[in-house]
Amino acid sequence: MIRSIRVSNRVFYRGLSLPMSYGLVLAATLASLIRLTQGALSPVDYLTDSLKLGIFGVLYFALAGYELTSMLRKLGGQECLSAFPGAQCGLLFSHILVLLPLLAVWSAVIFGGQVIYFFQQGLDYPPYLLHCLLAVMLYCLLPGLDGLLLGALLERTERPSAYGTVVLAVLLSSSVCDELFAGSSLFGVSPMAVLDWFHLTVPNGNWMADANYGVPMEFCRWCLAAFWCLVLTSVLLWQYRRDGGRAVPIAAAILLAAALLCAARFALRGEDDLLLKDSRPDGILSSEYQYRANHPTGELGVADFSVEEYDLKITAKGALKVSTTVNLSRDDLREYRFTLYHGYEVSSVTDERGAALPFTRDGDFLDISAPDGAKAFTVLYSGKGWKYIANEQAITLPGYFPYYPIPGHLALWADGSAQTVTGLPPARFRVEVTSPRTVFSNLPKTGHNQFEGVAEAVTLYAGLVDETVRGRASYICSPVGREQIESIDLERADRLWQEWCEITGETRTLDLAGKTVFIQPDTISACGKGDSESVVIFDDHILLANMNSTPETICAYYLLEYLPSDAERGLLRDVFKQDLVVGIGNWSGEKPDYDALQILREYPSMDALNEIGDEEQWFAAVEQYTSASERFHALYAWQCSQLGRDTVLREVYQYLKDSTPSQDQVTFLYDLGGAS
Amino acid sequence: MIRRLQLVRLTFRRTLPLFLAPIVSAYLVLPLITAAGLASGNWEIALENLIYGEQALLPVGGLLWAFAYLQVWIGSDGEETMRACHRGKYVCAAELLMLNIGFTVMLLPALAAGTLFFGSLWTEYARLLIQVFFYIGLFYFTAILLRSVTMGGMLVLAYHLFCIFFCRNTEMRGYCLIRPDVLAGAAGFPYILLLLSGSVMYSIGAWLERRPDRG
Amino acid sequence: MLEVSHVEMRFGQKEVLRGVTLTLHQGVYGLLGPNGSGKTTLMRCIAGVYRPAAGIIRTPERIGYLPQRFGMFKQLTVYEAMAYFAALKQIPARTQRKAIMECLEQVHLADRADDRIGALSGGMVRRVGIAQALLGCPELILADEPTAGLDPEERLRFKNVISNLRGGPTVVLSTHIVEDVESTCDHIILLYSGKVLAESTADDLRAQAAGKVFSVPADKRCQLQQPYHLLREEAGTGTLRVLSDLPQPGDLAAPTVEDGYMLYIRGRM
Repeated sequence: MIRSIRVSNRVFYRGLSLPMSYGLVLAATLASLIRLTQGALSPVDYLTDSLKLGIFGVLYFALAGYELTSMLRKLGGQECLSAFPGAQCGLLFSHILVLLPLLAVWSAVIFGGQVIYFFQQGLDYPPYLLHCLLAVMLYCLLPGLDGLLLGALLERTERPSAYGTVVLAVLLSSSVCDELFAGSSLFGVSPMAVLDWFHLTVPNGNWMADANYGVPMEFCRWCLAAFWCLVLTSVLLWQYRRDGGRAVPIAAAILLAAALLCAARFALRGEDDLLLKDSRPDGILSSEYQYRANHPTGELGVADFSVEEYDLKITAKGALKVSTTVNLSRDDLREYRFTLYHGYEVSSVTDERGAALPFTRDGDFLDISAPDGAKAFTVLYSGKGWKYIANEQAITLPGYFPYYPIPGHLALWADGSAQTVTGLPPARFRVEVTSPRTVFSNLPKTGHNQFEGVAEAVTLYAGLVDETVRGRASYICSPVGREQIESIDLERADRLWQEWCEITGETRTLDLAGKTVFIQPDTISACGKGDSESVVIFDDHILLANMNSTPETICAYYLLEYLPSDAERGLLRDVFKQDLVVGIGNWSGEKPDYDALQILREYPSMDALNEIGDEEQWFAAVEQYTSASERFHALYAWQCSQLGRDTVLREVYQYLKDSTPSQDQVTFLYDLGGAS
Repeated sequence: MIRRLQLVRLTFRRTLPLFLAPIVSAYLVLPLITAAGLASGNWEIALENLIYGEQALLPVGGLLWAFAYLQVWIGSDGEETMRACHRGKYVCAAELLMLNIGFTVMLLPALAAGTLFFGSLWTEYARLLIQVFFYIGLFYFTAILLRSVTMGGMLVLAYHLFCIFFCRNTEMRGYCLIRPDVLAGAAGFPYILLLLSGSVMYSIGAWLERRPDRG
Repeated sequence: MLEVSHVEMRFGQKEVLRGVTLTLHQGVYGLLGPNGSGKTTLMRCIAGVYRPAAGIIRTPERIGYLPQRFGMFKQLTVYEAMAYFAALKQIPARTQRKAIMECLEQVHLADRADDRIGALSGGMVRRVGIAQALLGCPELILADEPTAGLDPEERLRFKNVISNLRGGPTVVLSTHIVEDVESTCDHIILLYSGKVLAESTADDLRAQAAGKVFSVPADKRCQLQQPYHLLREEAGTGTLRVLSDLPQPGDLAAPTVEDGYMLYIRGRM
């Protein structure tokens, strides 16, 4: 074997095309990594972009493996070797062993890029380096190995067929097929169900990375990578079963059995909570919309009871599994109505005596019948929470999302976006989470991944997440994401709120200082995020789902939260919000002409322009609308310069608060301070 | 000329899958994904899918045709004999240009069909042809230089994949000839430069191929 | 000793070897037969490249095999290629160098040991193949078309190499060139259409053809009596060399091994 390896080494390094091509691939990889560092990317974005280079590995090593292993056959030397038992097999695996260090070096270069970037960014979060290492293994090293084995397998194939096979394999293992076929379905079956079996390179590579989640590395993905390695090796060994003695077919059989186990596990991935950020039917970008289109929300209703205590035992492995015991305020009701996200399947409900209770599930509603009344229920359920993911890689369960039963029938979806559940009476929570990750919560910690306390709701976070304490505030966010927590000064937000309340006459209180801040991952904003989810404030913590949150954005969202959201005043709301957050400036020119704003009276929002059927007219209207919007902004600024900003803010706020305004937004703003 | 065409035909008879792959892409895969977009009622999505598909698949198709032909002339068993028939003066550039033209003509009906649904696609067509021209020129050059069609093709394919994956990245976008995310007009790539580069590479490839110490 | 017992080999529906039985002791054997007779297939079966569909083959432990087409990585030097084969033949490291150089000297390539295979001519590469077959003092040497691609001088050298091996290993040369067999081999095995037609010697073949080979002038072609087999037509004189059991209008010619060979396969063609 050593002699075979020496031969392979010499054949590879003394040639021209293979080492030179490797050098070019390595140089291109290095150049790409360096170029990416100039992009001011967050570390996790840098990682995702770097991992796209994994496709180079599949391509190069597949073709290099083919060229190297088929070389002797093309030279006519194979027959001579076949007279020696084990020689062909030995030489084949020598070729593979010679290419393996090159694969390792190339993977190490990609990993090295992450390490350098990590230190360049001044990060102090070692778990991220382990995450990078695993990601490089999964999306660069293993696919490269699969490519290498495929190339070796094609050793006896003619060059055109081998090349075509490699091109096909590369296209299948990349995200090209995702882009082309994710949104399609054939006879009710999504092609992705089949194409996923070949997708070895980084998924969702064209989407922004989720900082909390990192690069998707669920267990099933490792099974897929292992499956291909094992099955290709097994087939290779089987090809040479006569050459290597009895050990070879036995090894091939063992590897095949292991491959089938991995395949079986991957086939069962439908039960797992996977972060699928593409447009396939069960991906997070479209699944919820489709569900909501087919299942309208039922009759809403407030509960006539409350929950005094929750005992949550949560397992986040694969998907969410929960055993929750709820202690109720009333034990004399025959039916208890709850809201629990529809993605969770309830397997059983028992009372405090352990007796099974009948229950019905209708969308997000869970109704439990208790003929003899009940003081407490234990509900067992499991499933997937859409973008609120909970698996072995990360947990993103905000308190406004009913991942545990909430009293009453509440709306979780309206106007095409997720709705938050807030304003609940406080309850005592005892939470125990089984997860390989360290879990963070708004509740006080009582042990490893154990929490207990009284609160409105429980938020649970885990993954590439860490806690940073600044002043009185504690920030739970990803150290490798894009969010800059330095800009989130809660004490300043409190002061700003006071100012705005004085100006606008708002009476609600906002007390942020001392609260725990959860910075939501980008996945929350990626789909179905309504305004209500941007800033959610509980008594002990707040959740922010905006990039680059500032005290201004936080207060602005809170201020506008309870305003009517009619489309007819959408433009004014936007301008108002812009003024609050960044300021609108003054307008020193003439007052914009009322007639120039007519189109805004006819079409109060950009969406309204879609009523125009004719394409040419539509284009013309868009142009007019854009111009009129700019004038509308100018009008607002002009009013500020005439009446003073505080006056304008107050008047506009009162107008926006009015649920039945007597004027349209254009006339109101134009006539502000008296018609002229 | 006829003999050269015969040679091309004979070569493709032997490598039929490589010949058919771009035809299947253009006349089966792309219509299917476009139809899926149109069926959902969203014209813009259908056009986006079409642009993505044609940028991702068709330049590679042109490369496959060139590979199918060139692999007979570089590093094959019959290379020596075939070149001896031409006294060692044979150059593949002419056939590769013919393949370019053939590829262009092959795509015309598909373009015409696309025009029915999406209006004028001539700029897309022009962009695609220039890309294919450049790719084949680059492949020819690298294959002759490295004396290996496999490695030459690998380099071109690696670049193609780089473009597909990094076209949306602000830092890398400038290096991406293939832009599946935008229409031809918005791509902002100097395609004339590509035409010139492709021509230069064809010329260098032909010169390298005719050198007496080649091989 | 080599024992081949009722060996059969099929490729799909086509039977290539049909019940071949041979016992070869020490000496040089020529495996003679037309193209497609199964010579190469038989050699491959003996070498272990193919597994026969039926039958038993018993070979000595150490075999040297030179296939019909021999090639090696062009990037390796002659010595490195030989060292690889030496390792495959499990020649101890301490004696490898000596064994390799001896074999290279036998094929007159010792001075090219450090040259790369890619720099050698086709004939020299063939000699490397011969050298690797000789490596490790094999008890059985199988050479399939060993002189293919060799110039006359090299073919002579090869014959000398084989001659030098007499009294040592069993050597089996597979060829369709009768001349090679005639000058080199002690025994000749005639193979036709997957079957052994005869096991003979050069003298026997000549003897069998004695009195059956005629040299007929071209102008007497029409007087030839059927059945006869035209061996060849002499260029220039136009004299016909004919093989026939019946008297023919011409002089008897001295028979050759080739004539004896044709005696067996005529009528089967």
